[in-house]
Amino acid sequence: MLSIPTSDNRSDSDIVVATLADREQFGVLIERYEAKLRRYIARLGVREIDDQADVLQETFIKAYRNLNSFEQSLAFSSWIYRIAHNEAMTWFRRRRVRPEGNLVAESDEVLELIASSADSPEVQFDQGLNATAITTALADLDPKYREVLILRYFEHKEYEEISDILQIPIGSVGTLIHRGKKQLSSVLNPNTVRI
Amino acid sequence: MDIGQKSPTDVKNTVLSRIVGENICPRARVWYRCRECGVWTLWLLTILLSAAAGAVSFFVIMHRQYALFEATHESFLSFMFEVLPYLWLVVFIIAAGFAYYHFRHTRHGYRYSFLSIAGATVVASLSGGIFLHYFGMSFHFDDFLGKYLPGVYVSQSMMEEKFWQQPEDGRLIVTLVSELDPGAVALVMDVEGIQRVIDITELFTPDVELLRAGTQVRLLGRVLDGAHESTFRACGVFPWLYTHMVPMEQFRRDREAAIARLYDHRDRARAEARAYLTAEVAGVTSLSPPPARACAEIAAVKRLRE
Repeated sequence: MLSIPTSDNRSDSDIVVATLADREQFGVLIERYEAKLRRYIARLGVREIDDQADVLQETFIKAYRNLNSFEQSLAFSSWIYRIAHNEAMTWFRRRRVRPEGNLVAESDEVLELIASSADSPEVQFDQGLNATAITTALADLDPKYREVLILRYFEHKEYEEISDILQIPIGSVGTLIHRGKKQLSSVLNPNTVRI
Repeated sequence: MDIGQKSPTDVKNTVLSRIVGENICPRARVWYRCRECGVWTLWLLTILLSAAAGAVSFFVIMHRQYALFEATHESFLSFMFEVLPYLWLVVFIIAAGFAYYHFRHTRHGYRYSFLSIAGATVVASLSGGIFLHYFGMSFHFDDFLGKYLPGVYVSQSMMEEKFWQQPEDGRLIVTLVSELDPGAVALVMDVEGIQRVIDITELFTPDVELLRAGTQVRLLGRVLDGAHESTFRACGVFPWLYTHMVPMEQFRRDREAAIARLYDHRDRARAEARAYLTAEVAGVTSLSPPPARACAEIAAVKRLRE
């Protein structure tokens, strides 16, 4: 198997084009996205490492098989996140389990981001937000809200990217984030959070 | 939870090995183009179907308002309840629903909100419907289905025929064959191909002229039972609604004129009775009693009187 340097400065789109000519190039994309996607599907609730590997494999195989459907107008990361999301949902359906979320803690930075980005006056988080409490609360959220909050605050995706990943209108992304934060604040322990 | 402890190359090597081992190849670009074209084609077809449904619905609703419901039904509501194009309205809703679904499944369909897509779908369907209706396609579409799907689809003209080809109730759809006694007796052929002799003595001049035009018309009258046989006495002649594209304005004028003539039957009978009574009171004995005006008593006139 060819060894491909990891410090590849080419854009994702360039590598996609190169992969269509030489399939070994796909390894570069796998290296770029494996860790990110593994974290993402773990956050969606695929907890076991072996399961994560299965979902990841299927994600990359599907991505490779559908490489010609990738269009340059879309960010490659959005495209592959969409595939990973769909594969994770397929995995949940096969296992007949409800995605419960598994928020791989990213410390207070993420939680502060949620708090500081609260665009509704009624959703104002306390500075001393408790990481454990919010992790539990997020796991209890409706999946549709948790998905957008994960993408927004843990994967640091823009609204447009979230729209492309979840295949929903941009307006709905804003609405879901707003409602998700509202629901989050309502399920959080009132002793730990001041609204 | 430990994440990422497995070597990252595991997934990479496994995936690349599977690609080689299972001989996995990227699907051809043309496959996606065909798929996208297929989705857009389905969208277009559903839009056309909903437009056709919209066109026939327009056609029915616009024409029905000029139908002489007073002659066939107890009220406009009961009439509309019976003639509303339910099938087409349902087809319109279902087709518009599928059009929404197909648009949503185009490459960028997800970017648009439900309201934007649903609104655009309804606007496209209605615009298409108006366009088809404007060029007379709605009539032909409805007529075509009625002719080629007998027993399955009832076209508007067939439904109108059902309402008007009721000789025992005083309604007929006829074409003049000849006038046996000008201004008094005519030979007509109804839509079932039966030749009938009718009494046209009570018809007003515009009615007679319309009958003489030789086109298919709706005839409103009364069946009078004589000693030996029944006679159909014509009281009103109205243009057939479903023959060609007639401007709505003309439909409106024709309908108003038809209603006015029905009133005239009643007014004429009253005037004649009043004149005879006045003459009798004045002692004039030479005046003969007014003729029996059967048309003043027809159901439609009674309803109009109310």
